[in-house]
Amino acid sequence: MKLHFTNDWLRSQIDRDADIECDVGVPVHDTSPLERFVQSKLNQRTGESAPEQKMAVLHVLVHQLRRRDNLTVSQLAERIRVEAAELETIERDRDYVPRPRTLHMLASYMKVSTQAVQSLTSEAIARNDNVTEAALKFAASSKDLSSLTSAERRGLNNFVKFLADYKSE
Amino acid sequence: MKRTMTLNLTDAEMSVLEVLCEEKGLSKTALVRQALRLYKSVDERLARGDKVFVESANKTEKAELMVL
Amino acid sequence: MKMLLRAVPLKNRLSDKFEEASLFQGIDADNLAHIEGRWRPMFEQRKLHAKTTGESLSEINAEDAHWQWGKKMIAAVQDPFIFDIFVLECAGNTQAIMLVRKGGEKCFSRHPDHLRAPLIYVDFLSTAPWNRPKLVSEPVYKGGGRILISTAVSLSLNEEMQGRIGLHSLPGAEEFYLNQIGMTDLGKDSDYGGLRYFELSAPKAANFFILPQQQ
Repeated sequence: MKLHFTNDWLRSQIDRDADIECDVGVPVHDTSPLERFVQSKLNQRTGESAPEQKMAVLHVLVHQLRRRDNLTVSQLAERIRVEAAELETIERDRDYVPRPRTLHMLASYMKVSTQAVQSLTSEAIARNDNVTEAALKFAASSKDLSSLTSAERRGLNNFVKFLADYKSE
Repeated sequence: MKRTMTLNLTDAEMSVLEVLCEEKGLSKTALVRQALRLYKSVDERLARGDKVFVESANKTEKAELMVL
Repeated sequence: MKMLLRAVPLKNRLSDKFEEASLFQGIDADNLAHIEGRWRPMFEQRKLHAKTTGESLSEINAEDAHWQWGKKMIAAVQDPFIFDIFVLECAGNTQAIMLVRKGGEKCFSRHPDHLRAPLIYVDFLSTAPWNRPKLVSEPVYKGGGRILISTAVSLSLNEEMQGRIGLHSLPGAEEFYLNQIGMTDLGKDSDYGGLRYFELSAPKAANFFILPQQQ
């Protein structure tokens, strides 16, 4: 994109400008007006179905964690100090990209790195992250039953252990 | 990357295009681009189930915008 | 996709020197992390402090009412075909961010010089809380608003819109747009929470990038 101003012009104007507020429109106090601009651009670039599978993993993981620990959405939300509405959205909406803080709090709860949980979001796809295979296996092996079978519990614990050992390149 | 296409318009349609370009100070390409943006913007809202209204200048009437 | 447009100068008020900042088209997860992890806690803290000192939130320009209404407005349209987003980074931080709209019902001029002419509409322009004179006693960087508005005017020129831009100023920023940028105040907009609507007209935009001594 062509910029029609020189840096000399900028310096001159910035020095002349009064020292006052210049914010416009919607105040940006957190990331909610912005998150889709990161996700949508990534989806355009990859255009593959991998994002859906990746997002399904986070959706399954959060759901399985709750079932393992016998927690409702509100109870888990309270425990990790995030909004219940957002946890509901994560479990319900495969395309939803959680807030960075929420990912961090989920990671703390699981005692794994934030990076590891973040690798389960669509943003990691472009990096061709090596967690994909393990994540897909975990998602494929999980069924949405009301109580966790011992096989599912083993699968969940193995996956969490995998995430704990996760190191990005 | 830009791609070129040929548009087949009637005399009347071309006339509308030329008058709008003149009024807005836009090339035909830029005018069509703006038309696409407006169409897509309205269409997306309708696709989401939103309703799009037009309000009269004196705010006494509101009519639903129908897009086929 | 995030793309570096150019290195630009940003004034550090504390050292009174210009530093090199990077102007990007597009944003990435790092910018989101900065806003969530660095902007947001500072806003929360400042709001709490305002409560204890009895300052109104509008005095420190931290009103949430605009944000709640605006969130719905922004959620309404998602398309990158219509939107462009720009971010300014310096010293490893996101210093300012701007979202513009290139087409749609907001992109028709209301200026009497050229009614209904196409323009670039600025949905939001936000500077980091540590740069805002109303929020902190020693704001750090100056010039983020000027750089991003100039980028919007450049985009308008590239789109054959002759530099025309429109925006709804937040309270406290009207003076910047009226007197520093040279926009026309077209009055309070009752459809926009009573915010004042400003436009840079084509004649004004024609001289926008000329150095003062050359005018």
